[in-house]
Amino acid sequence: MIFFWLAALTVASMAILFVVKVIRHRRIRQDGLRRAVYIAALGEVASHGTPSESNIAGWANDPSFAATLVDFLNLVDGAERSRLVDLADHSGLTARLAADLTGGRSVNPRLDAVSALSAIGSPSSLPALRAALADPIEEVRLEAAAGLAKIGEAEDVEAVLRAMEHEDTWTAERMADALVDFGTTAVQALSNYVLLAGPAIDPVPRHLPLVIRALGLIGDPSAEVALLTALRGEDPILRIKAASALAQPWNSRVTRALIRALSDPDWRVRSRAAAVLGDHRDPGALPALRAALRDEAWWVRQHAAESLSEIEGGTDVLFAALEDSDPFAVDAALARLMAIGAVEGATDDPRLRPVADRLDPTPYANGEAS
Amino acid sequence: MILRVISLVVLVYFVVLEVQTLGLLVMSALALRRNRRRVLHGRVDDMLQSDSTPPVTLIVPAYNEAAGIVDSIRSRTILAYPRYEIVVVNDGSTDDTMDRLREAFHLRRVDLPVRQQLDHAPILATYQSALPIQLTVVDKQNGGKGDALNAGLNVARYPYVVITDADMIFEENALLRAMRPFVEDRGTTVAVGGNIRPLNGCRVVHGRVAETGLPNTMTELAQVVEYQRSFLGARPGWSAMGGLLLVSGAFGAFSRQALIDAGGFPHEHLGEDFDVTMRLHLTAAEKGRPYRIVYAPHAVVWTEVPASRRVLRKQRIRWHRGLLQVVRDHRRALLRPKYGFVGMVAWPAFVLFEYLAPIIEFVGWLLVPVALFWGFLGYEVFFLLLGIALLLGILNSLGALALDERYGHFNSPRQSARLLMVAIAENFGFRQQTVWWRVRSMFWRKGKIEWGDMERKGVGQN
Repeated sequence: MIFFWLAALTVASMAILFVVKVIRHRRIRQDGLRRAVYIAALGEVASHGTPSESNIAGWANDPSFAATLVDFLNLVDGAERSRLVDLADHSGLTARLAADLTGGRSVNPRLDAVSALSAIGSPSSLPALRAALADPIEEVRLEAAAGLAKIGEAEDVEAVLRAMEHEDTWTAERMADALVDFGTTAVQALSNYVLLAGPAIDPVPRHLPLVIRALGLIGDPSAEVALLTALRGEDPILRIKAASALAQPWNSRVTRALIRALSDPDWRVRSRAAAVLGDHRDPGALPALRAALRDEAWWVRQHAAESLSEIEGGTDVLFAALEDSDPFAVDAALARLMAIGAVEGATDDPRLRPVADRLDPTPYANGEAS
Repeated sequence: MILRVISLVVLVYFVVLEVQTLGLLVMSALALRRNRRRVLHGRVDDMLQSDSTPPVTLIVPAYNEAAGIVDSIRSRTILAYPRYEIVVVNDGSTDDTMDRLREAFHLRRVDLPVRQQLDHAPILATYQSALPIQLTVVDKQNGGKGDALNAGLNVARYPYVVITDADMIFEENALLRAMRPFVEDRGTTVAVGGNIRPLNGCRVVHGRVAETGLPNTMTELAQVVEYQRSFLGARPGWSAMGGLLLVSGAFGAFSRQALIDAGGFPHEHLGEDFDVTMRLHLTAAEKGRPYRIVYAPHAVVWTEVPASRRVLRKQRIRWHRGLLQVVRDHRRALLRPKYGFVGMVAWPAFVLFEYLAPIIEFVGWLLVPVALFWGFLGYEVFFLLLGIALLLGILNSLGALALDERYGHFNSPRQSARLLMVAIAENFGFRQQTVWWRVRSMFWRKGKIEWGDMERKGVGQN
């Protein structure tokens, strides 16, 4: 009897699998055809504006339309994008998706709705997206934060910051990515968050490093005060993040602060400062970077050498470092000079004399195959 | 009487084995459902822009890989990942692997610092590419795959490493998806295994799989079903329960420090990836450290599987010898509560259903017909148990194919129909053949099998 049932189950499973495959295959083909029609229509709308109500009746309830619109929106910007967002509102798609998001109990329709709303970024979806920041499913909250960032209302920055405080590392990091997408709109709120959470506040908010990172990625000069304050703070993690965030050469104050950070007690801060100074390309940083070649931490020496090779006059400093009494400084300088090809075919260069014994030609060194 | 008991035990063993596999399949289905939501809506692609995404070192050991090494490395230089370096370790190749690398990537000799945290054969020289790519090539004396990986670990700059074979084709987001578990839980994640799929029959253009397809021979098709059973039907389930015992060396991400703490990869070992995964489990359990080793089913890489039975035989013998070494070296962990779920469930289940399976199946072939012939075993009981075992086996394969349907790798109904047929056909011939090879590897040790034995057409030439 068991054998019979198992045999029947096996045959039925095979048949079901095959039939499902055939149905899905046909659906994919039909979906492709409908999408082709929508692509043509969306191209027209992007160029000339929303068509009449009668032409778009029923589009809102077709999942293929929502999917095609989302894909299309990734390819356009400016006025064309605005026209397509208007179409989403006019056709009733935004309202339908907002209803799915706020009214539905099943997870998948809510996820599909919030992803589409997030991609469309229509201001009319703000209430639904704001409410979704409190959804029990983390992926829904993530998409909602991304959607709010795309719309870019300043008041929502604080809502996302508040939501971040209760999230795990992954979700908080992705929400911090959304903060970056707010752009310069978010700088004031984020700077305040950093300044108000300074050393006076204990404990330091868990996700403050992410906020500092977001400020650095936005790259707006008005964040300078907040970032310099964080660089002088007591928490080494915040100092590391602040040093990384100061990669933009806004002014000499920032460069000087980074040079001072090369003397930080924590090697990770020194390492980040050494790396970032290369982006500033300020010859005033050469002496400090030259000194950093003698740092006790390998990463600091490595980044100092890399930065020296990026600043005008830095290669000469690297050659001069080959005579350093500290063998680690010599190693760092020589490795960098080799990596940028400065010693290739230059074994007669008098500046290489201190390391001549390390430049013995070997197979491949001079382009010879073994 | 004894013959009858043994025959019954063998047949019941197979029923239990298949029921266990079916249970794992259900666990895997649940785990894949959760994972799919995270991948589709978890904004994994945002990691690309994020500077908090940890930098990674890709370690590619190469031994006589001249045929495909340049295409393979080139395809790795265009992965979607914010910051990573590639370290190729040329393990004393006797062909022109090194020359091809030098020419294609304009290598310059650079004296790189090499930490001496793990032992390996001497390094002859280190090189970096003059092109704007982070490529380091370590030229060392031959010492085996584990030895080459240890050299790569000593040279690696970043805190996480991805170990990958030279012939792998990466899906664009594979690295990003493999690294997600580390970002989710930096403190405790020590290793992440990726999903490996057979490349045979697919069309490859510029180091990318442009169109999926199926191979033509039964040997290759049966391996497609096998890989789906393993990578979709079993690993997600073990991973969800915390008992993933193998992070494949063909594509696995590791915390560098965890590998160093576990002593790195073993030398002269045919199952170095399996051995190191076991040591990661046991080391963390012995030190009482919380840890997790997980599987990332959406991190997909493609590999050529053996097309001929001769090469497949060599591969299976090598794998099973590696497995025997691992079982021998880690038998102390068997049924020891100290090792938690791994010691009490995962490892005993592995020994019972993987290590012993070929022996018991082989004994079954020999004894059951004898028992039938002499009348110790009724035909009714024999056909009933054999039929149940076979049907459960086929159902397991169908379950794995159903899971694959969710990922849509094989689009046409014709491809599905072929795989459904293979799921039945592989039970008559292919399965018995692989059992025979595995039994042979246990008792006949003639001939040295080394890494790099696999014959390839070259991934860029499909």
